[in-house]
Amino acid sequence: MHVDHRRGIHSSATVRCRSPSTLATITHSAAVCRMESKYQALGRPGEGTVGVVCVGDVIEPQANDSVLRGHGTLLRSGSLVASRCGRVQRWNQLVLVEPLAGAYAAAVGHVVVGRIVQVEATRWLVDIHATTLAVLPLSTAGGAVRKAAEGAVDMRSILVEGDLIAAEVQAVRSDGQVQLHVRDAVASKLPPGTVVDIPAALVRPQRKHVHHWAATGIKAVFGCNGAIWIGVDGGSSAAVPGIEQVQAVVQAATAVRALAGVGQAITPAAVERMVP
Amino acid sequence: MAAPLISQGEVEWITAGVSYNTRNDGRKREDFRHLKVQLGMLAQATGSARVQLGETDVIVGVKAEIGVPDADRPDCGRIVFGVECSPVASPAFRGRGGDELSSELARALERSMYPGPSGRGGGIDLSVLSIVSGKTCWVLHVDALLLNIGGNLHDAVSAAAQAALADAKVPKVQVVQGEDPSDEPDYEVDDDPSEAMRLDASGMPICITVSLIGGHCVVDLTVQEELCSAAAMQVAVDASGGVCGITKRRQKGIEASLAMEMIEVAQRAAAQLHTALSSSLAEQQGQQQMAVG
Repeated sequence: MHVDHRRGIHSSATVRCRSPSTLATITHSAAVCRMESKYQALGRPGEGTVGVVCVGDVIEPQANDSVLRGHGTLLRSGSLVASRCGRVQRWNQLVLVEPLAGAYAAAVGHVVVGRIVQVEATRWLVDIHATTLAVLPLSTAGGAVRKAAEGAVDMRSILVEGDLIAAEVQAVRSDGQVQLHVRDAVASKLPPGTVVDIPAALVRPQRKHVHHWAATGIKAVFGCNGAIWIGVDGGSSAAVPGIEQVQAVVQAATAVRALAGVGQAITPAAVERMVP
Repeated sequence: MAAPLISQGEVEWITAGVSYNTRNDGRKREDFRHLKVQLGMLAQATGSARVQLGETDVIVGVKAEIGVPDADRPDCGRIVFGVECSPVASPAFRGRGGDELSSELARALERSMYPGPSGRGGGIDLSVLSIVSGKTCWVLHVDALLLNIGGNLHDAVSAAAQAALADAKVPKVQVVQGEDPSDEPDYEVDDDPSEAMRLDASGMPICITVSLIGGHCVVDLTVQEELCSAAAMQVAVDASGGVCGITKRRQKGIEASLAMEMIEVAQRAAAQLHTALSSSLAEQQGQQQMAVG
């Protein structure tokens, strides 16, 4: 596994202290070990803000009043223990474990890549690999399409079922429904390209979610929902992609799959290191 | 089954990639994904195999039962094919959702593997399954379970069926005639596995689906690529390269000259797949014998 020592990420040989509780011995199966070694490149508890724990791992040895118990944790004989595999998140006093696998949990501000699965009168339903379909209302889809509200424009002339879009999570309602936002519905539609699906936990919110390779004229959108879109740069889908572009995209897609296969966080910088 | 969705951009992309001989996962047009075969997955079955072809995951079990032969072929055994779609593979398979796909796959399997009305052309010599002519024979139930759908189901199911039949050991049966010749004879089924008969599946054909994307022949399509292809031809090819059966699939027609090219592509791909499958089978059967010995 590639180890970046500058960031303080430890190698897989690191031996960890584990709570001697029975819970840990029973649940710490081989599968958990595999998962742990796969994702340990993401970091360790106590080494900065993120850390990966397994079921039974002690997060806080002395869980006094300064710690609020969040999702995925439980109190055992005075210490805070993880009850599921995942990444430790600390929000002031609140400590919770965010799962590494499973459906994507949307958060406001995330850039996501989704697919339109249903067209309704004033909104589109979008598959973003979450537990429910996300909603892209017409009202948040930019001024160019406002006419559609009056029935002057056909919704399907803007986005049809199957179309891929890059959008931003605008709100997550209390019932879990995700509302998306795009500046321009027409421009949000992604040109010819391909999508690589990876675990959502490997893509963190970052400053830039779009990366351009100017030399070959391709770009990639790193969706926080684990959908990485790679394809031609430029809005128009008129031109047929060239052989250099196809080869560069396949190279980048292979790099993303390889990085995800060893549990490395997927960032534009990481992919660019493999595909200059 | 609700068809998966694809955008126009992705269709253009895949079509362009195929024309440059570079597919999205880096394969060339005539490359297969990695084929992984595991024998003896099911302890209760006469023979079983799990085949993973990329994302596609199929388990096939063979169960031998004593039954009655067909009236028009009294000296032959029977093979019954069945396919079941697991709801694990897709939520669309809940209830009766997978019936259409499973009956299509079962029919395709039967067409490519079962002998014609003359009793010839099948990959397996059915006469070895006969016990008493016209009265009893072995009936092999070949049942496939689709665990994950990652494209190219037909080829994966046919490879798995071949592997499972090669893994099958049909118990030895002795017919014991009663004292009075008019009595019904008794059967003694020998449950000693070392006495059991292995079926010779080496002559069985393997299905290769050759699809057309933008006028080019492509094998082993992923789900996304299958959505871009309008015509496909399923060619059953045996180990010696002979074509045993051809079925045309999907909506569009195929030009005759292109059809010949597709058959040649299928023969090339089948030769590779047969070699990979037989070496994998030989290796695993050798390991099983070592374990027994």
